[in-house]
Amino acid sequence: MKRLGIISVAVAVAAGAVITAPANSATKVTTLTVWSTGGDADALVMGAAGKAFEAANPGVKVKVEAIGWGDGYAKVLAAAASKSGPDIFTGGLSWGISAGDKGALADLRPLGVATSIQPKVPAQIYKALIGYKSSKVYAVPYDLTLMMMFYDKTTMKNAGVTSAPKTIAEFNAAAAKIKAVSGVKNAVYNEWGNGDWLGFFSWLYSSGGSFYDAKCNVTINNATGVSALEQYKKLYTDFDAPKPGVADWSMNDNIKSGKYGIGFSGNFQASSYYTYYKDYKNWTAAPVPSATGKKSVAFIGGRGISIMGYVPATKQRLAAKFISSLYNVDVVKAMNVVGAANNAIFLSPVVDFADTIASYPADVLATIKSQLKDAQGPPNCIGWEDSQNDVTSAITKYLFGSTSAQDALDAAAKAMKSRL
Amino acid sequence: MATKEKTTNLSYVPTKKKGFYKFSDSGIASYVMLAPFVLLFIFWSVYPVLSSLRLSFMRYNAICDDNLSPCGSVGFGNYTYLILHDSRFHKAILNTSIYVIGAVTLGLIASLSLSLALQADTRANRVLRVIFFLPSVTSGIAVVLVWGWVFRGDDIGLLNSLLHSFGIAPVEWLATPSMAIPILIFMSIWGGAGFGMVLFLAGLNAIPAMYYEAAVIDGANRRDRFRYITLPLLKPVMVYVVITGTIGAFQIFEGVYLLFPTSVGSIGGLQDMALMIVPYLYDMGFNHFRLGYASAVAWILFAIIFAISLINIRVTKSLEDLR
Amino acid sequence: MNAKRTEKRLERKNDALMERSGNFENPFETKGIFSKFARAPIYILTLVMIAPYYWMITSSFKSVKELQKVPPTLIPEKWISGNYYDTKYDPNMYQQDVLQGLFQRFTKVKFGFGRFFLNSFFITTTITILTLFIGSLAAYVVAKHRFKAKRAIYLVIIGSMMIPWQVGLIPGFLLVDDLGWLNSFMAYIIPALPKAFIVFFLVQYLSSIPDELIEAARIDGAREWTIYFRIVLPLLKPAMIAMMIFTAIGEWNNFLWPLIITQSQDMANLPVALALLKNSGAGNIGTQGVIMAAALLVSMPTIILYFLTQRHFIRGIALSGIK
Repeated sequence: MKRLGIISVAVAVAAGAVITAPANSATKVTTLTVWSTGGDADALVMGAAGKAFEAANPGVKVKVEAIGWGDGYAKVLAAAASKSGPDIFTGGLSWGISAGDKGALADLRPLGVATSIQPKVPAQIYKALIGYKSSKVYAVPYDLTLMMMFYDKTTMKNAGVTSAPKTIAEFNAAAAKIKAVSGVKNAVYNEWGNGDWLGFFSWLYSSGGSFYDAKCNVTINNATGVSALEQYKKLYTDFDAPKPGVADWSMNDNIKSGKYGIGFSGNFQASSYYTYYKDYKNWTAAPVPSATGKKSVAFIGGRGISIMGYVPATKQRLAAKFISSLYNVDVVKAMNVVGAANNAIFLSPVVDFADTIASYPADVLATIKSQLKDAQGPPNCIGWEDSQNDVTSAITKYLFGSTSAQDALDAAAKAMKSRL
Repeated sequence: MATKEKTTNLSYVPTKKKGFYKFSDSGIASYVMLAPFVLLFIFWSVYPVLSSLRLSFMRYNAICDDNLSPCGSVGFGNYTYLILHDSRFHKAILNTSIYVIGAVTLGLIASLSLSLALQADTRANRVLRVIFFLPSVTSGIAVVLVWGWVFRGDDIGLLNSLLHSFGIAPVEWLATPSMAIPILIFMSIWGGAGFGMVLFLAGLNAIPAMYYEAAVIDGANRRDRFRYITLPLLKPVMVYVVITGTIGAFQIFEGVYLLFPTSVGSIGGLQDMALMIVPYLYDMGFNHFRLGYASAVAWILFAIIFAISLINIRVTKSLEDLR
Repeated sequence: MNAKRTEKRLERKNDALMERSGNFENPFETKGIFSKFARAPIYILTLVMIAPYYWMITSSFKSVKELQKVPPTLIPEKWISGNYYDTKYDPNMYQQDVLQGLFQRFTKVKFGFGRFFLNSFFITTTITILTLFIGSLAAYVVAKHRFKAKRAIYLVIIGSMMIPWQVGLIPGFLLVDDLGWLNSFMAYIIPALPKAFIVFFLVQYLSSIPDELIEAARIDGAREWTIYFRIVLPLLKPAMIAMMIFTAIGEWNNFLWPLIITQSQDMANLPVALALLKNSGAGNIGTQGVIMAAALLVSMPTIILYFLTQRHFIRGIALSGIK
């Protein structure tokens, strides 16, 4: 007992000495601390941009730390409350609006970032980052995540489907055929936004519907919305899409092995195919199906990048300079060298830079570029942040419960309206 | 039960001493020895609880920008909204209640049965006791991660692959609303029965053997002996197990946090099927930074636990008075 | 001298309390030919208890391919250590069947996963030592000093045990924030120091120790600190060891508070690091083995501590429950 005690004290003291030892740092260096939301790989990619910035700006050090998706927003707000933490962070598209509305972030317009970046990036994504009727810009797009339809060409061929289904009707027919193929367990798999508003988004918008119209009137519960939701439910009832919580984030292997037919997920999975299955050439990605006569409108998300409000003015300008550097084609190229090795291929919001991703097959790259043209970001109407939960909850009541589609969407609309 | 304290010792006898000895027979040493604990206790235990009460009547997000997000009093606003309008909170209360009732009663039965089954002091029993107790010292997060795999909904899930070998189709364990709480209850019993067992074992061993001997002489059969000797004498342990178990069960967090995430930055699983009070508190407090609102949730939790503890003690007392 | 003897006597008494058993029958103890069958459910339950540990251990040594097998293999076909450290791993190039082992992850953190071990170890040890020191000082004053208002102080301390600690979660967070302690060891350690239960437990224990010992020392002219170190501490040893183990295991496995106060990965403790690992790997089957390896490593220290100190441990629980 006694020996155990002494040993543990000794180890604790040693551990304390090791972990509290200050890092050696020259005094003259200015350090920009960047919190990168996502995994370690995303932080490495950001680190590549940091290295480029360090090379161009002597005396500056860029320190990148990874924070998780799950608690990242909480960490950012906690940092804002304590006025200590990062200088810059990347995070969910909505974080900028909601943290900005709390007074946590620096307005990017006077720093010159907003105006220089706006023309370079798709309008839909830029719009999603700023509050409705807000005159301030708290975040600019850092990267893009795009909903796409993934499948294995052999599985398709075995089902007798010769080309990617373009319309919803074609999709239903194809899915029904795939279901009959032996070895296929789930004809459809929703990975990104499974059973929630995000997964529903592309079906709704590709049917010509929307959550709100341009003036932020709630439109989710109109006839188009109802039929889109009924179509979305088909994925679960008719085509065996696994419910959320069953086999989350398991698309890649299963598409490859032919267990899943068609999978809906983000371009990050294209990156993952590239990194993990270099020899696997049979996968491809196509635009999400749309109603006859409508455009294929995929959900486009991604991360915004913001500067914390407590950062002193001079440092804010340096941070702004760093952010601007992310829209440079050479920097993006450098980021993607790292990204390709680590399953974190970076999709710059500057659409033309998609060409720098040498790693993708031509058809996938073509899909990405064409989807980006008509893709839509999350709505930027007031109260959307808080309504997300209600919309998801309403949708799931129809998808996995016994409510009717109309009632479910009416409930969602009611919640959305109450927050406008 | 507890050795009685000598009452003469607890009461301070005023004397005509001076200085620090005026208040304590041991002089300044009393204060110096008590100070570290008491100061830390006031600062980190008393103050936060009171401060939380104050916050629960406020709109507060710590940043408090006067123009963008002012902080200020809302009176009983947080409470009335929570109790009357907040359907997620209602769901959390309902889920937690079902969970607590299930986990506490089944846990009580499980730990009592275990203690009876493993009471004899044989080598095998000693090993089994250790095994049943292991979860109590194992990291909750580590255990939850293993359960996450056991209850995976696809065919790689451990339980599903077991079912598969019996030719049963995979079950969507964590995606079926009616299964969420039973799974959490199961995890709680798996993790906690051993702890209760040790308490009951101590209680059982404290029962003098002569009671049983006397009962045997009086002709009481085994069932009667259990009912009229063992159970009544175990009652204090039972009360303890129930009260601590209830308080613990109300505080469930880790299992929900890790096994039932919702889309980015929310907790509770599909249709909030596993949403509980503390996860909701966390969600409101740290995902949304509605610190005042979350404090109100905390105080409602406190009120519930307090009421249940009182009822528990009252009921046990009145039952004893009846006898 | 005297103190030593009393301590021994108490220890013997407690051991007797725990180890004396089998002195009466109970409904689960069937004798004769059926006894083996009657105990079958216990052995089945034992399997359920062991299964998660078994799974944790074996799957941490399985390759990704083997992990996906349906039905799963009971014993790894090929034992691999890649989930811990894969020598073939190259961060600049992805290779089929080569894993990024546990200790090759968290590249942004100095010492990688080992860092979390150091953090947890440092935090746990520091808290355990300090909290026991200040707790035992306070308990000594409350139990053995004649002291004005000590009843009131003790009542507040006991009363606070009724309050779920999450009530103070948000103000505690804000307090740590105001002090500038977010993401620091201070935030881990200082708020964890005042533990009401320790004072309560030690006061109970001390009150069963005759005052004469202490009075005699006082009459001999010993100072309070001398009495504390020479008489009280040795007397308290069994209780202190029990509390030490409780505190250490509790702090090692602590999750919610560390989750809130850490901002960067390098300040995470092991449970938070586990959650990070789980969230980064999501459902990806490739990380499951790594997660199991981490879960195993996180669980091992407390389980080892439990095995080493089993006797003290069980006695501590029994004492705390009976009181």
